[in-house]
Amino acid sequence: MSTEKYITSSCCISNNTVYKNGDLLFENTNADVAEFLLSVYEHFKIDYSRFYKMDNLSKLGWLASEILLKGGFKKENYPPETIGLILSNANSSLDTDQKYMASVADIPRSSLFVYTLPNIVSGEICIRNNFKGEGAFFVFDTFNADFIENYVSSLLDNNILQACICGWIELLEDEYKAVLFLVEKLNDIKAIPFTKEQMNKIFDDKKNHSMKDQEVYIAGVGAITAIGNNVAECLASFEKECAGMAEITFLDTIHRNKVPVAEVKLSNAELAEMTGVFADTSRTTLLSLMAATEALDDAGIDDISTLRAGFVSANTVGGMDKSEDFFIDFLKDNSKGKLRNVFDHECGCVTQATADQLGIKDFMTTINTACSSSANAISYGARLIKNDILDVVVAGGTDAITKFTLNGFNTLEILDRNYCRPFDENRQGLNLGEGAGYVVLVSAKLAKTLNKKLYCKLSGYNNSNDAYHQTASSPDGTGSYLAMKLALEKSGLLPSDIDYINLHGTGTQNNDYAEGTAVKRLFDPSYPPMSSTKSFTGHTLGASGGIEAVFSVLAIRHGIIYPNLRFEDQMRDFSFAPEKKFLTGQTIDHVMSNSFGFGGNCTSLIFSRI
Amino acid sequence: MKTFIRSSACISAQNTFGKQELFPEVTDITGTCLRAIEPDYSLLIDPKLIRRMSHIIKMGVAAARECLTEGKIDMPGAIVTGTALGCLEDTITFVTRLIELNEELLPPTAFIQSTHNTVAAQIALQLKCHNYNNNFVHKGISFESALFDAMMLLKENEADNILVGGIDEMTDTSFAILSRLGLYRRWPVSNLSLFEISAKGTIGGEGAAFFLLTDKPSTDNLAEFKGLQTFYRPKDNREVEQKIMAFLALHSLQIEDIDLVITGKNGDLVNDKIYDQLVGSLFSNVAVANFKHLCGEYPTAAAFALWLAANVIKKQEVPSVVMERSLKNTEPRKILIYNHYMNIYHSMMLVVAC
Repeated sequence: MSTEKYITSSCCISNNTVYKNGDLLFENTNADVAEFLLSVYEHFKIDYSRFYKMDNLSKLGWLASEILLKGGFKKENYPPETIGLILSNANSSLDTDQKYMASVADIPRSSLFVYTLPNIVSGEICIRNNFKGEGAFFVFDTFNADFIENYVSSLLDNNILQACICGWIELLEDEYKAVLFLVEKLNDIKAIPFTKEQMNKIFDDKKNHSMKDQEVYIAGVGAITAIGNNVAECLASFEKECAGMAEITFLDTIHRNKVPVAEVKLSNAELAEMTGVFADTSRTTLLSLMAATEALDDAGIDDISTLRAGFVSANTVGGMDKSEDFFIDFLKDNSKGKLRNVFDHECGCVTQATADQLGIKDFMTTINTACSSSANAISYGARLIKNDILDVVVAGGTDAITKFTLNGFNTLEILDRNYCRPFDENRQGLNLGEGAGYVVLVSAKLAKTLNKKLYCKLSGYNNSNDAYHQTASSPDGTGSYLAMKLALEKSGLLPSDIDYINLHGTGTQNNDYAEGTAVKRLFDPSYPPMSSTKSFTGHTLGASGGIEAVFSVLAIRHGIIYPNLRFEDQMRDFSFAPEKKFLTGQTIDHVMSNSFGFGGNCTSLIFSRI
Repeated sequence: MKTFIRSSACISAQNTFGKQELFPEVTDITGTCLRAIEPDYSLLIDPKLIRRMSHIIKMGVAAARECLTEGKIDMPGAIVTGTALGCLEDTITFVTRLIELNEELLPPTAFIQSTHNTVAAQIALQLKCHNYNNNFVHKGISFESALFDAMMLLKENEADNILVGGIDEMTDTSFAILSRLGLYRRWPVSNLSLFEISAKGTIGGEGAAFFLLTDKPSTDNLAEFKGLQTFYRPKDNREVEQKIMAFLALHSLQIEDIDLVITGKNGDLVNDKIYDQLVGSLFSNVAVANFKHLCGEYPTAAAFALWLAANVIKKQEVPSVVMERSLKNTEPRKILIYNHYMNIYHSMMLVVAC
């Protein structure tokens, strides 16, 4: 008979850290295995002289069991015969076997010999606690949660055991990892269901933490798009369900009045005046300056010059708007063309100009992976903080509409002549947009000193490649599926934890089908609310990952879900549809934001409530 | 954790591709621009694909493939590239057509291949490599940014056997524009006497150099890649010296410990002032080599320097054509590469014997 079973405690010791129930209890970074295990013993003030005799594998497992059982576990509630241990690892007792073999050449040491069986660790735990229930030690290549769940469940269901310690205890030379679960039939407040998914989640979660990972928080946001010149204006447009597409106003092109675009509603002259730079600056830079300045101001950092600061910005067109002007004269006569117009052609020039304005010089770089560019900029920025290279990074991207990109997408015949309809069965293509979006990423240490409420944290990210075609996505959505799945794994979350997906959702036949297939593969049968905000802003190319990261962060802050405008007919191939209405009062803990681009470059980011 | 260079491959104005010797014969060209010597691509890339590929894509894909072959790796754990100017040829083709044809009836091919990430994408596509794929486009430190990413990935245990490369191409149009911007010599010069005739301007260049980075030691590895640092707009030469000393100190080294310094000297009067001053001060007692007379100046030329350093360490010989001030130690084990791009972006790389 099957009964309810719960993990009432968990402990993970790996990479010089000790976690219990997800909380970091102890860390000792500069120690080898033996020193580290001793420091754990001393830190938890355990007095048990047998500890000193144990081999490293037994010390590791025994310490994990001590910490696992400390506090809550009432062993007197159970007869000793009903408390058991089901353990596993990959290399059995190889670590001590090797040491014993090395000693054989000299004088065989019996103190080592007795530890040349992996189940001795179970014995040490049983001796300490007077457990007398069933025990077994299994060897698997990797942690086999499926097996453990089945095996332990049958022992508990058949009342052979009432409580069981199970998990993984692996140690070979410098590498070690112990993850133990206490499984009981009682459901206390902290208990979580005993399932392989939960065990894997705890096991992998610690894998992430074991990189000595530090959290990266979002302290500021800034955005400029066709629906608003700043974050507040964008939010207001969402609430009014007012899209930013219109006939072309600023761009001088023959496509005016033929294809709608989502232009930022300010001229270069107006943008230059607002940002305090020359009016002949590339529009890509002007948009970047607007949003990056807003984001940094929002973060409330007093003096960025005292911090290790970076600017990681993405764009795909650089100063192409100006280069186009240059080429008109240059092509007639190659000694003609205003050089000022080509001076900032490179993508890197846009970043440099903005970084100079922000006063950031410690670190800057530019990423261009087409339409996933600024999502990659955000994860790269986060990694610079996690690797303790920087304290604060302004990360995101910018792109202006140019004739180059408009004509490029036009030749590919993927521009919708009407306002785009992402994820609709009758979608006709994308509308080009422009804008910039940045988040200010800060380290945990800096976050504590900021006198403001943090938005959320960046809990997961992944960059995978579809490796299918230069411009088209694979029909099975391999790249997008991998990006979403691996970002989830990085965050230690399950698909069911996601409360909202900000889709890449360009509105092209190809993207929405591939992305939809990937969403189905990962989330079926229970889909979170999702929408493409490109139905408001158009596709802002290299800026889209940054802009949509800002929207994702705001979804968590304000408890909102954005509508997918103009959606009418659900795609035939799928059983889900995007959200049609602007929703408020939602509890949004985790948001996934997708950005996929030419060249198969797929990136997903996950933002989580703190 | 250590970072090793497992293998390398380089396409440049020199005969550097697929050769056992570093420079079997040195290219001596009188002009103001060095173009890459292209290998027989049909041996490396499917001929059907070659027809559609631009110059930079062919160079990049071929160098990447050769690097994987050299490193005996079928599938890299990640692909990271750096290119300041990206796919210029296709970009210029598309801009030219859109102006000349007044935005009508444009063919899409040039646009499709114009995106800066095309080389990294094409490598992934041909290998069917779904792993991490990134591309940096930050002027004179595009390649260094890519290297930095690769080093972090290794440290984070996210990937091993990371393919990292620096690629830039020269086209007639970009050469004409950059000449007008005053980057190059006004009069033709023999590249081998670039440093003897002092004048304004350097010679243009292009190339592709790829590396496989791993944290696994092996006797096959070329060298250990010990460190990388970049800095931006130093106040003066004093700050440059301080940055270099601090960088060495970070790795418990002093300038006296360095067997060879490879500088980014390019023959331009203003540009070289910094190097000349260093050679008279901080570098006054160390062997000095240069490389841009061999490959020309381009934003990712530091990749050529890294290829040179890694192979000098593996082969334990320094070709005389690169030497400015000769070696005291004939077995170079520690090499510092110091390069700057227009005195805005400066980079330091440390390569040592395994």
